[in-house]
Amino acid sequence: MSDVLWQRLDQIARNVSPFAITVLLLIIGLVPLRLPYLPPLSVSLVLVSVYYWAVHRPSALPAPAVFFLGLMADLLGGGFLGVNALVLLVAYAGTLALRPWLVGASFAIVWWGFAILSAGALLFTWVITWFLAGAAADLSPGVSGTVFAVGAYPLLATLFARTQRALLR
Amino acid sequence: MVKRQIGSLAWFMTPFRAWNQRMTLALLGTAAIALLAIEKTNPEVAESARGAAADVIAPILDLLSRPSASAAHAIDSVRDLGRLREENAQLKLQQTRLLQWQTVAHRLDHENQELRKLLNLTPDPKARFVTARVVGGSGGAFVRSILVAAGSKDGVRKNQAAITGEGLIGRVSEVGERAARVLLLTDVNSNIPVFVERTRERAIAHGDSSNSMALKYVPGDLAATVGDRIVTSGHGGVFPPGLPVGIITAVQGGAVTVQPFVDWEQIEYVRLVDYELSGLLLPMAGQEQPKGPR
Repeated sequence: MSDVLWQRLDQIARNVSPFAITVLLLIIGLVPLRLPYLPPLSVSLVLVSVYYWAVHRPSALPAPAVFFLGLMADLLGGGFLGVNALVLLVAYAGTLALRPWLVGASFAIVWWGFAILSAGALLFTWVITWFLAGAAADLSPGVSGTVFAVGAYPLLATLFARTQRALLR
Repeated sequence: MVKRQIGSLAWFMTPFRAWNQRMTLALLGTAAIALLAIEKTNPEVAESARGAAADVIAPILDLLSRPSASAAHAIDSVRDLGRLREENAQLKLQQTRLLQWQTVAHRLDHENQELRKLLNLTPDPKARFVTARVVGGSGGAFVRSILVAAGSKDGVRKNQAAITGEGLIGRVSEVGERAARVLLLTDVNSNIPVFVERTRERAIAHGDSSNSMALKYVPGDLAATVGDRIVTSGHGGVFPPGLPVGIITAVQGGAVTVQPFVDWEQIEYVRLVDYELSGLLLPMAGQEQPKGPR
């Protein structure tokens, strides 16, 4: 009985690991690092995770988890409520639609895919912010955050791939 | 690769799974749009939700931000060691100048009090303040705000001014019990009534998510030039007049760019000041202008 319970708990822990790692990235992105020229990174880091799992194993990070991550980003990061929830969901849905071409493609193509998706997500966020705030924001801090996330993609993708191999069966 | 045989359960269920996935996405997308509608029509609900979330995350961020603060201090210490002699000479020079200014300030303060007595002027309200540590930054690309580890239990209230030694950095936008969020001057929702210190020309300092601000509603024949100081005007009654905001760095046609005095990367502690002014504040986007007494 005890063994069965432990096995179940072990399986649950393994199943929630992609979500837990993404939450950790979200929180780490909110820590003030006091480094010059460092833009807000929290949502960009979450987008890396959402893209990776949508391409490689959508069941590990299902749509409700993506919505919840977006909601957390909205509540903890201080922006308009619903913006990140919507942007991350649209990015997730877009990646799922392109999944047949991305699965089995070379790493460079998947990386390019992320760069294009990040740029699209940034523009979408900018448009929603414009609509809600009634004023256009400067795009440059968002662009530098996107460039940072695209640069960090290989490192984070390696971390996620190891998690996938070690924890998910 | 395993091929699903026609007639098998998996083959039969595949279109239903895809339909289920699409329905889930559509429902969640609708929920996200509903949240946007709540933000636009009922911002106080969103504010209280963010205030509650700030209470939950602040202790975690407080713990996580301490190592990064220590590392930043260590880097600063090493950097400062190299220029100790040069800095010492500069500080001595600055001290001499400040002592002269102190004498002038004492004389002006005395003169000011005497003149106020003569005019029977009502004294300015006394300010109360809370000093709080910065524990969190912004999440999104177009958000400029910080989370501080002090809330309503410590006397923090909405719309209090957030200042550092260099000047105004923003205002308290959301308050939890133990944490609060400060909307920075550079956020796209920030509109601060200001004037040019030298020419007394009024304007609104508007954030655009970059590290600088733009002046809106400037007079057509603007006399202010690059290098002029911008301070709060006190209009709207949220901030007292004269709080340093920034310096004009560019004037091109009608577009005036202001660089805030604050070094955003170096903010570790902020002072949240209650000037006990109960005036109107420029509403955030989507909010209605509060109605005055009739």
